[in-house]
Amino acid sequence: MMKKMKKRANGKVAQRPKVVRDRINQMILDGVIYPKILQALGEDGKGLAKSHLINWRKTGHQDWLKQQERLEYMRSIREFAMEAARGNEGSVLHEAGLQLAAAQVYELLMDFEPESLKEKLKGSPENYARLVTVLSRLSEGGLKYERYRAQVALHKANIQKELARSEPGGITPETRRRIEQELNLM
Amino acid sequence: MTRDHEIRHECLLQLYGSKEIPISAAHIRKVARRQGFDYGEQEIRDALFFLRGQGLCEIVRGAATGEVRERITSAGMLEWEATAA
Repeated sequence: MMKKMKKRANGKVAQRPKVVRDRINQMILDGVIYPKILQALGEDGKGLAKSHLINWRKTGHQDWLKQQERLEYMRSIREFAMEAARGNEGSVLHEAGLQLAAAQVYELLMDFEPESLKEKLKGSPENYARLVTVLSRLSEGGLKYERYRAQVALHKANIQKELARSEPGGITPETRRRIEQELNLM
Repeated sequence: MTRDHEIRHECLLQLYGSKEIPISAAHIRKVARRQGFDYGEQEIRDALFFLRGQGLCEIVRGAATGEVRERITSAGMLEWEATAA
């Protein structure tokens, strides 16, 4: 069901500057009791009573909590997406490309709904088997890719070594043969 | 808060949450929908247009695909931290 339009909070706490609201929210979250909150606010809490804080805890504070949860969730997905995109160092991604690659991973992960997956699995147990097969294929693919990357890095290093060795007099036929050999292996 | 304000707020929240990662209007709509908001894609685009006009976000275009995404600017981050929530 879609939400109804929300009325902007206009209580005593909501009218305070954001810095003060943040302090109040943090103290409520930390479990500080209301009289202590009022005491800690000092001048900033002038005109506030315990009842205002009780009201705020039921309304504005709940919105704040929800928002913090959402931001925290986005942060964890964002970090994962950036890491996944950075993992492709070998593919020489420029910073802009990296961000777009991360954007794709980010959007994909944000789209993923654990609840809907749970629902789908609940209805048909055979989907479990499918999921396990897909996961094992994925990890197998990942391993193969890692092995391939290591192999490529090794060949690259060998080619560099050969090139460095042949610098003074150009590439010798022997070196050329070795490079060709390495390239063929790739 | 009017509907327009609400949509702008939601867009800025998602842009702030994704930081350097640019996101599309379609993505913002999907995530908002999951939160229970029925914003249309055009409404989101309008809100993004407004935020762009204020210098709070910018367009990032994929060089290969031409896909348009939006990313928050530092002014947008400051705005969120100073006033929102």
